[in-house]
Amino acid sequence: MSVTAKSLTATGLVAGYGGQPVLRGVSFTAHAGEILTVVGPNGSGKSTLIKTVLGLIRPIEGRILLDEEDITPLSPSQRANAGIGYVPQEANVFPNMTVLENLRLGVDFIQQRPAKRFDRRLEEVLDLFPEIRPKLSTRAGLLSGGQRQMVAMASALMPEPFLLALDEPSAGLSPRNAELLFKIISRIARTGVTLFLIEQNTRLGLGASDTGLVLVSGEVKLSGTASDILGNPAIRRLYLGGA
Amino acid sequence: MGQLLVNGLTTGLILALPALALALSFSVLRFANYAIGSYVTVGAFVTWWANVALALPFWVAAIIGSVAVASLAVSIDALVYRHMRERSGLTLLVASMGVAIALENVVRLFAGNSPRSFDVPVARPQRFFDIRVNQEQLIILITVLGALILVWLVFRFTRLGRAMRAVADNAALASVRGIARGRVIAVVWALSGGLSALAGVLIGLDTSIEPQMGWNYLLPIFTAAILGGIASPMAAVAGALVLGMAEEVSTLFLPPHYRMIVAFVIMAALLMLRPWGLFGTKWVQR
Repeated sequence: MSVTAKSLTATGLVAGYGGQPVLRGVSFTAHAGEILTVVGPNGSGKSTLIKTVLGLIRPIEGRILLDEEDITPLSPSQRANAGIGYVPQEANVFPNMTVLENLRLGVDFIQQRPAKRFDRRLEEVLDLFPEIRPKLSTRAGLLSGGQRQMVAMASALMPEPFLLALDEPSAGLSPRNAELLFKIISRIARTGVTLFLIEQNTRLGLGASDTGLVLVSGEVKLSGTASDILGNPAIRRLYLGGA
Repeated sequence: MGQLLVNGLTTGLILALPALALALSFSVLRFANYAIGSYVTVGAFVTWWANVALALPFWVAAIIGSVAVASLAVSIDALVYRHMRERSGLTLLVASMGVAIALENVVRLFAGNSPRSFDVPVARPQRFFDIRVNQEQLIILITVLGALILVWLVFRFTRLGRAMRAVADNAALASVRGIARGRVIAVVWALSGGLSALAGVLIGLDTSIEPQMGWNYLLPIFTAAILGGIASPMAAVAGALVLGMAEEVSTLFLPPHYRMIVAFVIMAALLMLRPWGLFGTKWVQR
């Protein structure tokens, strides 16, 4: 895999629902090829942030850049074609379709970079997720939570995105599966993809990341290297549940 | 009994196309399009106009009727439903009632109220082992099976089919996988309109063409779709065949003009006991 990762920059994001802002001027940069994890208590605006990055919510103010390209006016499908892959927290597969159909849908409507035969790309992705190789003809709705999460990530990786956004990837997984998943996330980063994560499991999320962002009440309370945030006792006590 | 089954199969096949059309739009848009009966009527009348007034061959006229209603369905979506996309299914259902009333009255305005029929040559019925099969039944069988196979192939083996199934399965995920929902919706409306119009042509061939023909078929269409599973297009086809057989077999015990009661009873029982249908998925709410 030879993808050239791109950076993601948000400046002064104000966004919410029904005109009521949840995010209040959020700015950050995920540098090309690094893993950035956003953590914070429930209701801090983490899901709103990822939905805004993906174009599922239009910001009231602020801009989102993929490298130098302003993607703020783009729809979710246009952002997908600009090179942003997304794995939602829930409902992240097409349950009535087979695993292979889910993977095919990853590239059916997104321009691949560079154009590559489906079979060749499928092999590359299955090498990252060997657990789903025997399940290709199984309906995705019949898989376990961990397997579904892997299918969702594999599908998002099929078009070789510049940036992969993951919404709470460890949610609902057993501790063992969650650790396995984060090992895979680290492997994905090494293939040249920028990773932007929202995560409840602070220790696992920040432990696998280069940089972190602590979001509280829709504002950035702290940003920096993941190890600095994990090592900050006040932040851990106040905002991260003492993790 | 063999004759009853052939007649039931014919009824079921006629119902299969609009039931499929109804389930198709429901699976993607999550609302039951009440105007489906009017699409049936308009399709029959446009085909009649092309066949009789323009003296075009029946099959050419049928294609013109189907294309016209496919375009009409896409236009109605752009004019009416698109502006209500985020509203509840009930709001859209009421809007489709308005569309149905408007279309039926436009048909009455241009075509009047008297029944009419297509200009097709009359042929003697064929006999197979004492079962009488007339020319119209053979045309219905071939047309419906051809249309269903074509739709199934598109659904199963094409990018477009995968896109339609993906939007039906999980619209939000489909959008972040690069699928333009608006285009998929337009294709679904075109297919839904075209299939309904084709059903109108076949009903007109089997019986007669009149402004309330779609209305007469509305209850059986909804029952067939719900019987199979209104959110599962191909299951709706199975529902149509079961209903067609059930209606026809009921004439062994009931006077033929009471056969509509069968549809009523089946629909009422299903809505109470199994609203997701015999072959559908369980998410549909009562």
